[in-house]
Amino acid sequence: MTSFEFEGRQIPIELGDSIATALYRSGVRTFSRSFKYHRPRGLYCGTGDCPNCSMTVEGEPAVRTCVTPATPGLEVHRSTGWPSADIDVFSALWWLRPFMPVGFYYKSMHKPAAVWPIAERFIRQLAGLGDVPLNQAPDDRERRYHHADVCVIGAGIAGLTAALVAADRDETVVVCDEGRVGSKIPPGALDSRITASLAQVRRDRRITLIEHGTAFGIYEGPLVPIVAADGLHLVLPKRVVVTTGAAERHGVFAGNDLPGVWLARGAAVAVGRHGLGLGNHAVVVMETEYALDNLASIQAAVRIDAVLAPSALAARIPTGLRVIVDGKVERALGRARLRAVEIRSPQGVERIGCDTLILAFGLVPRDNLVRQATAASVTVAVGGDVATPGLGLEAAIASGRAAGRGEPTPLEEPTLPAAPCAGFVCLCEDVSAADLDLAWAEGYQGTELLKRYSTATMGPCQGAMCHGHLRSFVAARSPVPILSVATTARPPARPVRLQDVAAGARYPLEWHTGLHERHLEMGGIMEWAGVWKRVERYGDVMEEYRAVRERVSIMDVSTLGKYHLAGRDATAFLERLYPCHVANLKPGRSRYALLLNEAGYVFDDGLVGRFGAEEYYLTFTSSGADAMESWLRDWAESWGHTVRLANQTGTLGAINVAGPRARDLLVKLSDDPVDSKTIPYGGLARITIAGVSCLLLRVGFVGELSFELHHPRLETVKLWDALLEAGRELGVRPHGLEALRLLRLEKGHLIVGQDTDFDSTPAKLGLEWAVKMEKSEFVGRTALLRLKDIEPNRILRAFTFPGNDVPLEGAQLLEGTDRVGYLTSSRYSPVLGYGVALAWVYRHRGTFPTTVEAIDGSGRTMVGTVAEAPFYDREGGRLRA
Amino acid sequence: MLSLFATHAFIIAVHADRSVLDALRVTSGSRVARVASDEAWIIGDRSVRSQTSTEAVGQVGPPLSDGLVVDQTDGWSIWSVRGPEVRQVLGRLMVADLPSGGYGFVQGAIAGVSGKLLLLGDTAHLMVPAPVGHHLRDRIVAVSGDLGLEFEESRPFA
Repeated sequence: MTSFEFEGRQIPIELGDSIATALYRSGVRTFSRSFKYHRPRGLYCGTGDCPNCSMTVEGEPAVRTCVTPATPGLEVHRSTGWPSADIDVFSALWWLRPFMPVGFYYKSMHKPAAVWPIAERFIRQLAGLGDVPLNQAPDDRERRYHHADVCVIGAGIAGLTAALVAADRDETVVVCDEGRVGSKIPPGALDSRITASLAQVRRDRRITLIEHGTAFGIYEGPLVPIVAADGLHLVLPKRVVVTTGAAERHGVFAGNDLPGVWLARGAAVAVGRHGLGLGNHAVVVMETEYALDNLASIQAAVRIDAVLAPSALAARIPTGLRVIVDGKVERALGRARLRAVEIRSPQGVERIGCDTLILAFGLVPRDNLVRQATAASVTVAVGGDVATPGLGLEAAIASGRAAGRGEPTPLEEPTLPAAPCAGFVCLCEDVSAADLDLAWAEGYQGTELLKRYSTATMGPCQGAMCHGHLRSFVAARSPVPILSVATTARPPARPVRLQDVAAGARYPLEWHTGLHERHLEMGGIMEWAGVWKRVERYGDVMEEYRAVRERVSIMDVSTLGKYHLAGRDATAFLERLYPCHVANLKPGRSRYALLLNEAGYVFDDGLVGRFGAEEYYLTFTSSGADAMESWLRDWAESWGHTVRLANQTGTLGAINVAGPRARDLLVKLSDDPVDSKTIPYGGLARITIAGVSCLLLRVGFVGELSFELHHPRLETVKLWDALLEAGRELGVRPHGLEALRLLRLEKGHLIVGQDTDFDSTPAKLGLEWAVKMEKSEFVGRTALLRLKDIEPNRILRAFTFPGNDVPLEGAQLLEGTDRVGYLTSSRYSPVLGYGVALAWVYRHRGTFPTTVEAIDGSGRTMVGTVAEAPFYDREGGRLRA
Repeated sequence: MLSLFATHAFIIAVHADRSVLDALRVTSGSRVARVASDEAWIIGDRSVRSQTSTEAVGQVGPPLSDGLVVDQTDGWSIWSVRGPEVRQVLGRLMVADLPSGGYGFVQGAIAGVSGKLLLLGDTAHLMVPAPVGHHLRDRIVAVSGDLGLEFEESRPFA
């Protein structure tokens, strides 16, 4: 026999069991402790509408166990109650209720102010629905879109009929149900019809059935999100059919929440479907014709001592049962369990001992989704009980047909129950009729105000039980109709986990260069660089570093943003965009360029290369690659410039060949001239290397002779391999990002985003040389003009640290005990024999500190001195070789 | 039966004024997809790649004119799905509505990445930037499990 674990016990499972039915069969009667007073709560609705059976299942709190299938091996426990839900010392709170009326936390515990934080913590610990797991939920479930013609929500008889009718009209259909289809229906004629229709639905290829799929909202579009076991289904239908049925009406009277009080359909399902015994003596409230069918099956499971029925129904109660005509439940008595009920009838008040009370007050449409749809201006067809609660079988089928054809069914204004006088109105939030009375007396007069003040209807069931009662409470006290209107229905109609909504979101997505596989084969250790995976190192970083400084090395720089720009206004456009000169750039030359936003802040950098009169090649940093497209297009659009822009970031691979022997390597693979006269520093040329046509840019980020080879992505492996092969006798080896960070730092080159902040002006970065204020216009110029006369409060400076160690990046800089800045980049430089760094320093006592003490995360302190960058090859001879 | 294969096509992006693109003519077998008012893509079999490029340059005008022709072939991964249930697969990957007639060009998020779809009857050519081509392939496989997807040899564009 299969079983699951419940608070240390093994609970056997029978076929078709939900967690709740299995527990009930094993003798569990207290299913939860209530939100505020820790009242014992038992199985009540049995249809997933009320909060009573919520437990923690597999670490997840607030699971409605009556609609969750029992599967072997589950770990289930009740979420609240100490030391246990059966014996909960906090149930004493019930006797303290005069001290904590509705809204008590607004009124007390606020003076002195220091009391509240303590009280709040205490209240939060006591109240609640269990603990949210703090560990990350591993979730690889999918997100799927369904572009169906029709989405049917609710697979009862009306929903299944609607789906079949729509499919017969050759429409594609998605139909969902939050449970197993038919599991909320007691055995009988309806059940058989559902089984037959279900078989038909399963056979129809035009219909997709999602069982255990909860539609929790209807959004504009329309869009219907459905949470299912295999992930999130987003249905984008042409039209929506809502056949969510109706729930049994909640009964409100004193003691209405005692375990042993059942709603009729839940009781009938428990008995008829799961063979549960309900107790020894039962009293039944039968106020609706609809539930007469259930009476027989209930009668089989428990002795019915009395049936309370209005005179109109009394004659239809089976003979042999005692009928109390026009009897009303005055109150239910008992502490942890129902012991007796007090009944008021025209004959007087009578007390009947019983352990089961079954309530059939009528049906309430599950109309939350319909009302959401109205709020989102989505027209939906409704069918079955949600349109007209208590339809007979044939009428429900007819209604489902009409809905399947898309015929509008007028939604009946639901009949309101009798105004509550005593007992719990809202089971989720423990709001009683007395609480509403007090709130009303305090001036919260109207559904919306009462709801917000008392939190009635705001619990996990979202008013499924108590919304009508709240309205009737108001309607009985005020003749003003607007005060008793239905409150706004919003998603989620059923509780959803953030994890459900995030299904299928797999960010960050890895972007791979054309050399990704090659890097892995070569033992490259990858790291994130924006959306890309790049090589941090292949092996020994110092070996890679030395290859660049002493011989020749190659690096995959395919991640650079790469754009081809042309058009009649190209030059005018770039001149106006960049802070550097563009018009005087010669064809076949490139230039370093900053990118400023309107505030004059540096947000990216790169190169501007010129092919011809109105044809350019632009590069940007890897992180800015895609955002630059919108930036460029937006400005072209707003200036009315005709430019053509082709984003080639993914199309072109790029390999940087750097080191004193870089030219020797290229010569071995190319017939084209690459001498410094033909291609000087800043040069741009099209050459063929190893049979691959390349765009060559002579650059200088690492401070050695270096060439970037931009080439078709599909030939990148061929070129890479050729360079390594031909460079073998020159001592070539590839380098990764870690070597690059040291190489560029020795040159004092900053990395936008690492060394810069969102508000870094060129002046703060010491890059004023890259900004030509004499130009009449460029993006950010106006801002820079206004900032010109304001002394910057902080600047980026280069520092050196003596010795063979250096503070970690992020180290804080101190002068005495005052904090005067922080490091953004730092490395020990082997060629120089000391540490090099970039740091932000603040103006301190009127000047920028030149000697600082750095303290880093490891707690070490080191003294650094301001220095002039570049540290390496100050004259740039190697760069221009 | 549903099959998945890589398609080897060329993609030539033609940037020019609307009127020039409206009049764009290509070698038969290739298709023109309008990406924007001033950008069209020519997608076709690689055997006519350079010929098409020359043709396009000829129509867009001399090099100093406003036109720009850029070969973007290497920048895009094309994964193609073929079979009667192709629309079902597409529906699971895309939020955008599919072309109603079974033929058409749609731009939008595909498996969460900005991409393009060329739908030719029961064959869908899904295009995403080459650096995330691996992701598209994985996602197609992930959402098609119940439809019996089979891998096939890569093939030229048709």
